[in-house]
Order: sequence, then structure tokens, then C-alpha cells
Amino acid sequence: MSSGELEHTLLPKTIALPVFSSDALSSVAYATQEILLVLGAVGAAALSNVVPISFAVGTLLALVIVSYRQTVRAYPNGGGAYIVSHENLGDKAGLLAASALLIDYVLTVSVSITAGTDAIVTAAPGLEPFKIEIAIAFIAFVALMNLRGVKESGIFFAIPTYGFILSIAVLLLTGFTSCLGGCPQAENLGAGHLASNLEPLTWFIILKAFAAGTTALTGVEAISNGVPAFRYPQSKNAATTLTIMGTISISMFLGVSWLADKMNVIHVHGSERTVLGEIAHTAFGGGLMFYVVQVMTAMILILAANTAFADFPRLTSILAVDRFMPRQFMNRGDRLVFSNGIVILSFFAGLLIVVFDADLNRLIQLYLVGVFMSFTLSQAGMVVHWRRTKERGWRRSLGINAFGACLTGTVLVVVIATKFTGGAWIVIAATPVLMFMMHSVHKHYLWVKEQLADAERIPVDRRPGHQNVVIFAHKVDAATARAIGYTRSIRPGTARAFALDKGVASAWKRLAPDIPLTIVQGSGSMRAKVKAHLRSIRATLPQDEFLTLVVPEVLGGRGWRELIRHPSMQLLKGSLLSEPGVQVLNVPIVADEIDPDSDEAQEPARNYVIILVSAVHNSTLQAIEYAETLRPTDLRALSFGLDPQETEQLGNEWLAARIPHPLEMQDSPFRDISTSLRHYIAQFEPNGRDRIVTIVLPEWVVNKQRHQILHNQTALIVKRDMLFEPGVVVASVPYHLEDAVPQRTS
Amino acid sequence: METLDQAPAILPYFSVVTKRTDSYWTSLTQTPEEARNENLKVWASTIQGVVKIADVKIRERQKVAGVITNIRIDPREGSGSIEATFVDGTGQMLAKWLGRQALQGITLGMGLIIEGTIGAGTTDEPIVLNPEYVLVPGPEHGVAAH
Repeated sequence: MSSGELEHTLLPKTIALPVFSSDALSSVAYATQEILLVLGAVGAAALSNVVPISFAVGTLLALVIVSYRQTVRAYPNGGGAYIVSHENLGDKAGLLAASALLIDYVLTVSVSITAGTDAIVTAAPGLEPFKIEIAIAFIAFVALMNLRGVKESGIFFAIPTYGFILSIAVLLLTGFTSCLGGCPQAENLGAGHLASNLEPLTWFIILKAFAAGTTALTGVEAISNGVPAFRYPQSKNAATTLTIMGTISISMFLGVSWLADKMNVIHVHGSERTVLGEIAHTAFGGGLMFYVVQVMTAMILILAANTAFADFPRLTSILAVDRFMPRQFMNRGDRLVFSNGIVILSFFAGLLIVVFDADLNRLIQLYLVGVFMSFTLSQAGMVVHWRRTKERGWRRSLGINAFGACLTGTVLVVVIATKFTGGAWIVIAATPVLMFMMHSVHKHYLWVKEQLADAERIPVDRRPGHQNVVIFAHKVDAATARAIGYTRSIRPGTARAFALDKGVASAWKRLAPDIPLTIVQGSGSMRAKVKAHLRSIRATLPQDEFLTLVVPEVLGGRGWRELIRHPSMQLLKGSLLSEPGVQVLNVPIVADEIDPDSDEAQEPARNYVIILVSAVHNSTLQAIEYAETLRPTDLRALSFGLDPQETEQLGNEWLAARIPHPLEMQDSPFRDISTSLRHYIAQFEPNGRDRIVTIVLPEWVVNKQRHQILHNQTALIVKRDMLFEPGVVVASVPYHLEDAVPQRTS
Repeated sequence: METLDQAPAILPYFSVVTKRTDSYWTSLTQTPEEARNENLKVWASTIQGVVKIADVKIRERQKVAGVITNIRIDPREGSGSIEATFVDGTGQMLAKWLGRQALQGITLGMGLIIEGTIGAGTTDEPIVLNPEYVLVPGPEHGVAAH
């Protein structure tokens, strides 16, 4: 699928509402129930408090929405809790918010899926023993949909969300009407008889019930993240949608709580139906509409889980731009990266469901800490934002946000106090671990940045003759012929070839009598023999000359399966990255582009050399020197700007460093570098015979293997995807950070 | 639908409804590129006093706005040149500055309003040399990264 489809198109309010509010609206399905569960524990007499407590929760929700309207105005480019707190409160607060959000997304999936399963079980009580299995199946379903890359059209969101709103509206109307002449009473299947006063009703219980009810606030943040997806005027439309969402959410929640009270719904552990199910059953007498409500509830809850699958990669991508996560997460367009995120998210969500026995009440205990932590940080960040910018009307906005921050901060304290032992401690323990991990990644990137900027590097001699080429004549085929033509065209100082198999010698003689061939013998793996041979050549060369291993490769077909079928070449190229003083130039050719009539080892008349750069540092400078030795027809540096600030910095550093080559910085609208690069090289019309495009990739190598995963991921993607591009060769030029101090003594 | 649109006097509300459903339908079916162009057009329409790139007249002094999608720095030409390609959903255009040593805020995804005499470039796209310019926030979504 084209990665462009990942992006939402601009949404009218009526579509944006279901897209962004399924999470917030779906909490109506369980918020009242959580309050009743707490109150029920102290006796039936306490249950009537559900209405005033719901009012308090509803008021809180209204205030938070008013507060978030300010965020939406101030951050038209999307102001999630991470962005707002990182920008205004600094790294630590940003990381705290990010950790809270990451945990939050996992819990959104667990909680929503569990609640959705409960709705199903309410409609079909026979399924009760299979709750965990059903929940896991739902997660697997949503994960697979996302892995396959479902095209999320507006209708996909609109049907379940509007269906849910409509079914609840019908339920409330029917309920209210039936209450005109005295409410029908709930059956309360499985709840048994509840004593009137088991325990005294204390303020702590009231607070605990209130904290439980605040689950109604989950999901409010989604719109503040999604402002850029709205139609113009974006902020205004987003703010309006936020208000509409709040109004609907509060009305539904209060209506459900009121009916629960009037119908005397009791909910305890062991109740057969959810509170919403019980109300629906009472109001509709168990008819068709009862089932409709259950199905709609399950659907919106699964949809709510799905939004976490969309938000998770977005947050990791922002974190990667800020270097708190491995850089590969930045490239959201890459299926592989995207898939990893989905797998991680579903794994943890599933794990939580299994560990907590698909018990909604216990899962929600964990949920709220992260939710209110991000609310509080985000609004506190907004307070600093208003003080800093002093935009028109800032005092009013500051007041609203400050009040909101205090309010959600207080609720956070209440949530922690009432739910700590119930499971909230897990989140409180996991948060610093996540923060530490992200901090370590950040520290590592900073260290590498420092290393790459080391000014002591001595430039390599730029004269073309200082290039030495070794061709790996694994076989003698079309790719080998192309490699020979390429080698001749760059006129290297020395050119030689080697093979592991004596059988190729005669074919080689015929094809390239001008390039001497050595047969490398001995025992050991292919990789070991190649490396040993390269080292022996390297030892004879001056330090300031390049040594390029040319690897010709005929691929049987296109696609990644081809790489898995013949892994030895890929492994060889990968392992040579860590070999100091060796550059690898890959000359691939896909079987179907081989032209049997063409001159086999034709020298390309035009060699367009493109260096992919991301910053001006030692690795880039070395790659430029390397590119200069290739006798390019045209030499330029290319950068795909994933971040506007980094792009500007790169441009300015390029000018300041007085690099005598043009630099082009190209927008990659969907953050999909492979596609953008493919479009870019198309202008040179490479055909592999007389027109070749050489992509030079500056890479850097760190000594610790486990750190290597944090680097060169873009290079990896480019290498993988460019293998199948006709007429494109890829040279990878590694810079060894441990060798940052020059080895040369001259 | 067309016939309904042509009968606004009889069915005023109906035409509103069909227009709505039309724009609805468009929003559901357009490709990301189309959505992006539409986004750019709306963004450009919020800027006062500019002409669309598609309507630009060669050899006249004009004011044009667009979002920067490509920047080319060439230090080889004398004291260096900076070229920025910008788009507004109707077309693309090139602004070129000579003798500059820094980008000074020119970056991808940024909104650029230029005023100067338009020339015909080597390709089809209009070019403007050393224009006066103002940088404004771009529409962000669908043009550059966050």
C-alpha cells in the first residue's frame, strides 16, 4: 500500500467527531459502572450518591474541555501532552508526559477491549468463561487490521460512533419515558441481595467513587493531537468539535447515571450484565434494542482501542524526532517500523488483559494515573505557554489552564491515593523506567553527535586516483559485468578482483582481462574469508586512500522475500559495515532487467552521484570525499527534511562549511523516504547501462553492537529498497566513531 | 445531483444538502495528494493580496504565496545561491536569491510570501530573482513534518 494513505485527509467536523472522539465517548460504557462498584461495596443505601458524584465528574469533564479548548487554539499543529509539556516545562516533564501517554495507549487498548468484551458477554452470558480469549481475539483482530494497513475512511469511524450515540439516545429516551409512571426496576442478575449498610459511607469512599467515575474523562486529549487533520479554520473547528464531544459525552454519562439510580441498578463483582446492559435490559425489556445497544457498545469500544493504534506511532515518531526514541521511529511511512509499534502495543495490552483476568475494574485502576498525569502536565505547560507568549487574551486563558491544572492535579492525587494499592503502583513504577530508557537513548545520541563533530579528523585525499577497487567475483553474471563497467568508469588508482571459486577464472579472463583476479582459498565461512582478504589488501594501502569492495548481485525478483531467500550476501554487506577502512558498493541487478543483447561490461557514460545527508559532520564529510573519487557526472547532496528546524540548521551549516557541492533539501510529505527518493532519482532516468545513479550513504558505526540499532536505520531502509531500483548502485561509507581520532600520523 | 444543483430557486435547502454531501464525498475519496493541494489552496486563500501561482503573469511585478517544498543551496555559483521551490496547490514556482550566506528562516514547510518581477524559468515554472519576501507559518499538515 502507498504510505500516503496513512495520512488522514482533511476532515469536516461531522467526520472528525467520530474519528477523534470514539475513545472519549466510549467511556460512557463503563464510567457509571465504576462509581456503582465502589458505592455498592458499602451498601445499597450509598448507591443513590451516584447522581451527585456523576454531576461532579461531569463538571470536571466540562472544565477540562474548556481548558483543552485553549490548547487547541494555541497549538494548531497538534498539542498533545508531550509536545506542550516538553516545549514549556522542559525535558523531564516532557518525558514524564511521554511515558504516561505510552502507558496510557497500552491501557486504552486493554480497557476498551475488555469493556467491549463485557458488552458482548452481557448480551450472550454463555461466553463468560471465554472472556480472556475473546478479548485477545479482538486485540489480534485490531492489530491485524492495522498491520494490513486498513484504509481508515470516515465511514469506518462514523458508523460505530454515530450508531453508539444514537442507540444510547434511544435508550435514554425510552428510559425517561418509562420512568414517567414510576421507573421499571432492574433485575440485577447475579448481583444477589445487597445489604443496606455494610460499612459507613465515608468521605474517602465518596472520593474513591469520584475517582472511579473520572474514567469518563479518558480520551479527551485525542482532539488536541489531531488539530492538523481538521478542515480550515482548523483550531476553531477543533475547538467546536471538542465542545460538541463534551456535550454529548456529559449528557450520555449523566443520563446513564440517572437511570442507573432510578432503576436501582446494583453492580458488584459477579454481576452478569454491565450497568449499561442492565439499564438497556430494563428499559427495553430485553428486546432487540437491548442487543443493538450491546453490539454498538462493543463496536465503539473496539474503535476506541483502534485509535490507540493510530496515536502510538504518532507519539513515537515525535519522540524520535526529539531523539528520545530510536530514529527509525521517525519514519512513520515505513511499514516495518510501523508494524513493530503495533506488535509492541498489542503485546503489552494483551499481557495486561491476561494478567488482570480481563477484569475491567482492576484494569481501570491502572488507567487513570496516566490519564490525569498527562492532563495535569499538559495544562501546567499551557500556563507557562501563556506567560511566555502573552498573546491576546492570555490572562484569561492562563487563568482557565491554571485552574484546570490545579483541578486535574488534585484529581491525580485522589486517584493515586485511592487506587495505589489496587494497581496504580504498577504504572507509578513503570513510568520512571520508561523515562530512564528514553533518557538513555537521548544521551547516547548526544554522545554520537559530539563524536561526529570532532574537529580533529584529517580529510582523506580527494584525488580520484586515491580510490582502490576490489570486485567480489562471487559469480560471473550480468551484475558482475555491470560492476566491471562501473569500476572502469571511475578510473581507480588500483582495481582488482577476487573469487572464492576457481571456476569463475576463465569467464573472468574473457570479460575483464584488465582487472587481475585472485582466487581466495582456505577454510572458514565466506564472510571470514572475504574479511581476511580485504584486510590483507588494506594493509598494503596508504591510510588516506579509500578501499571499495564492489559487490555485484543478481536478484531473482523484487520484494523482501528475495533477501530472505539469499541471506548470505546481505549478511556479508552488513558485517562489512564494522570493518574499518572498507566501503561497500553494491551493484544489484534484478533478473528481469537483464538485457542479453547489451554490451556486457559497458562503461556508464553518466554517473549521477547523490549523497544522502542529514547533518554536516565527519561522517558526511568523509562521504563527500568518497563521492568525489567516483568521477561523477553530477555530484550533489540530498536531504529529506523530516524536521523544519533540522533542515534549516543543515542548510546553514552547509554554507558555513563551504562545501563546494550543491545541497538539495526535499520535502518528504508522508515521511516515506524510500518513495521520495525513488521519485527523486527518476529525473536522472537511470538504466544501468549508460546512465547510473550512485547513492552514497554516510553511516557511522559505534563499538557496542546493541547501540548500533539506534543508528543508520534510514540507510538500512534505503539500501533495502534501492536494491530493486534499476540502474541504481549504493555505496555505504562507514565512519567509525572509535576511530574518531585519526590513525594517520603524517 | 447536477439537476438539483441547477434548481436552487425551487429547492434552496436541497442544493445546500447536495453540496454538503458532495464535499463529504470528496473528503472521503480524494487521494492524499489531492487533499494536500486542497489544503494548500485554502491556506493560500487566507493570505491577503496574493495571486495564485497558476495565474502568475510573466514580466510583471506580483505578490505570490506558497509553501516551501524544496530548497537548493549551490555554493558553486559565485558567492552562492539559494533556491526555494514553493507550491500553493495551483502550481509551483521558484524563488532564487544570490549572494546569501544563510537561510535566515527559509526552511521546508514554511509559508513564503514573495513580491518581485516574475520571469520565465528554464522549465515551465515561473521564477523570481532576489524577491522581497516574508515568512509565515505554513499549513503544516500534509506539507512537511510537524
